[in-house]
Order: sequence, then C-alpha cells, then structure tokens
Amino acid sequence: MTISEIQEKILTDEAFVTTELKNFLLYYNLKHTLRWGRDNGEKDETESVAEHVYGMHILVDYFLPFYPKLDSEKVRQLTTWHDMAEAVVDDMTTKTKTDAHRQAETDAEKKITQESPEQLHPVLQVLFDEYQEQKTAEAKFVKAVDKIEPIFHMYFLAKTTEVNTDAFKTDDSGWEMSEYKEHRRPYIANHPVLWRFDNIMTPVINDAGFFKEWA
Amino acid sequence: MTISEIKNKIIQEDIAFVLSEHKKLHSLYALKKEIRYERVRDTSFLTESVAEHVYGMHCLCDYFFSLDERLASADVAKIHTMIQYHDIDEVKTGDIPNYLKDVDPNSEFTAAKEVILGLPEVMQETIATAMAEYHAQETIEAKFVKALDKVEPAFQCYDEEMKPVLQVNKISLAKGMKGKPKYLAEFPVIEHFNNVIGSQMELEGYFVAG
Repeated sequence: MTISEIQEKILTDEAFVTTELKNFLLYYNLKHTLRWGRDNGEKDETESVAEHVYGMHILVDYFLPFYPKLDSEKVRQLTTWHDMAEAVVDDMTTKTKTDAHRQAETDAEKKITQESPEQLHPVLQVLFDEYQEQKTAEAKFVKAVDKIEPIFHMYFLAKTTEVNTDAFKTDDSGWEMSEYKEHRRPYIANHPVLWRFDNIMTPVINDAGFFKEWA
Repeated sequence: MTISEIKNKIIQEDIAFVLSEHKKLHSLYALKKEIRYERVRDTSFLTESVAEHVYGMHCLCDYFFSLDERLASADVAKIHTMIQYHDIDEVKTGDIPNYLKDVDPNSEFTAAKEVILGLPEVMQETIATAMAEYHAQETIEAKFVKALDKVEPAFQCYDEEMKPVLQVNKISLAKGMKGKPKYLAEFPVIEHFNNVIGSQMELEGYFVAG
C-alpha cells in the first residue's frame, strides 16, 4: 500500500487501526525487557522518562511518513531532548503543572545547556527554544507525539498485563475525561492520523479502568 | 574550545577532561531513573531496560557525531533508525548480556527480520533497509552505531548504583570489554572514552578480579 492508501485506511477502517496497534505491541515490549541478566517475570508497569522517549521514537517512525515535509533529523533531536529538564526537575503531569513548575523547567533547560559538553550548547539552546515556542511544524508534531505516547503506553499495558490501574488514578496524576480533553487533545486534534488512533485507543483504556472517570 | 581541540583532548587521553565530559553526559541518564506518573521503582538493585539503553545511545549520538568529521555527510536519519532498532531481535530472544553472548550474528539478524515483518507496513522498508546495513557493518553509519552500542554501557555502569549489578554478575574488566575493541578501533574518540572510563572503574573497584 502507498502512504496515502494507508492513511485512508486508518481514517476509515477501525479494524485496520486495531491491527496496526497489535503490530506495534511486540516492539513496545522492549520497555519491559531488562538487561544485565535480570529477569522480569513480573512485568513492571512503571515507566521511566527514558522509556517514554523510546516510545516516542517508535511513534515518530510510524507517523513521520505521513508528514513528508518535516525535517526528520530535527524531529529526532526534539524527541530525544524534549523532556531533558526532568533530569533536574521531577516529572510532573500536565494537569498539575503550575507556572512555577514551567519556569523551573525553563531554568533547568538553561542549566542543562550551560553544563552540557561545550559542542552541545548551541544545539540544545535551539532545540529547547524551538520546542517551547511551539511555532515550527516539527515542534508541533513532536508535542502531539509526546501527548499521545502515554495513550499508547496504557493501551499496551491494558492489552498485555494485569495492571494495577489504581496507580494511574491518584489525585495528582489520574485523569478524568474533561481533564484529558482540556490538557491533551488540543495538541493531537490537528493531526488527523494521530487523532484517529487516539479515538480508538481511549475507549479501550477506559474499559481497562485507567481513567478516574469517563463520562 | 573548537571541535578539534575537544577531540585532541580526548584522544591525548586527558583523563580529567574525559571524566568531566562523562559526568556531564551521565547527568542525562537521570531520565532513566526518573519514573513517570509519580510512581517509584525498587532502587535496591538498579535495572535497565533495552528501551533505556536505546535512549542512552540517542543521547550519546548527538555528542559523538559532532566529534567525527567522517560523519559530516552521513545519513543522520538512518543512524537514528539503526539506534532505535539495533536490538529488535531481542523482542524474540530477550536480552543476552554481551559477556555471555555466543550467538551467531546471522541468527540475530534472522530473528530481527522476523520481528520487522510483524511491524506495521509503513515502517517495514525503512527499518529493514537500516538493519540490513547495520548487520553488514560496511558503512560509516553502521559502524558508528555499533561503536555507540559498545560504549553506552560504560556510561550506564560508571554509576555507584550499578556497582552491585556488576558484582552480582561477576563482571571483570576483561569481561566488560569482551568483543568491544574491534568495533571501537575505527572511532578513536569513542575508544578513548571507553578505555578511560573502564580504567577508572577498575581503580574504583567496580569490577571483580580476573
């Protein structure tokens, strides 16, 4: 199939999207495959920021062919570095982020840039600025992938493991549908192919009990 | 400093400089330990997933890429695809530590090809082409990614929390370096990083004797 034909199938054929998700499933498992001879017989459903970035790179490989005009090198770099502030400031969900936390992230990016190896300084400054400003098509695409990756993560957990979904429903990090719409969907809605995946995955996640309240 | 000055400092084995660069790069590894959704992991025995190893390689790529003028005309997108999928065979086989590896590379490649055939069609051709090139180890891109794969554990392991992992697995310096020199020899900057960090870890008691 051509890219246009695949896009058409995604937008019109739910069974096709479900099959695409199933095909992803196997490769997402490397988030849970441990190195150094460790056995993870009991699959750990937690996720590090590094594993989220890894998941985003997979999604970039899937979705980027639908955006032939984007600078793929820039997309890769933005994906790798977009959450680097969290090396200094703890991870926080979108809905509990305050202005103070956003400022702390900006300060952290400056610190990381200044303290990084010298030849990375100009690269990082440009990447952090571009992502924060959200003006370029590449920055917007990576932001959309950043917002939808957790949905893929939860979808795959729902399909592969006995998950303690209560852990996803704490006061701070749990989502209600209205909150989800407010904080995440605006970034995804302008990307029809991603939006389609989102629409098909979210009911599955809801049925698995990941959302606090889905009304 | 210019790129060539940085490169010279590393190649001339300015140990303090290499260790200082390592420390800066290792700070990016905090994201392997930062757990999302306000969850926590058991930190009594540090673990690393294949996904986290791949993340480390993406970070190191941006550092080492600029220090090798032979890569100036390299296909960067292909490098990142190779990084992302170089361990794809482990979907079928699980991870086998390098020091225990006695696997025919052809069987790894066969497993990789089987996994690629199961991926969505829109991804298959790009990944299959990149992985065939990586397996052949003829292009500068493939060799660079292989060198990154070999040096990445040095960044992961030179961390106090990894000491118990190396001890439990009875990893000596020789074991830790097994199979690496031939892939690092073409990349002197990466090779010096690997050697300096390895020696420093030996000095600081990370490895078991032998």
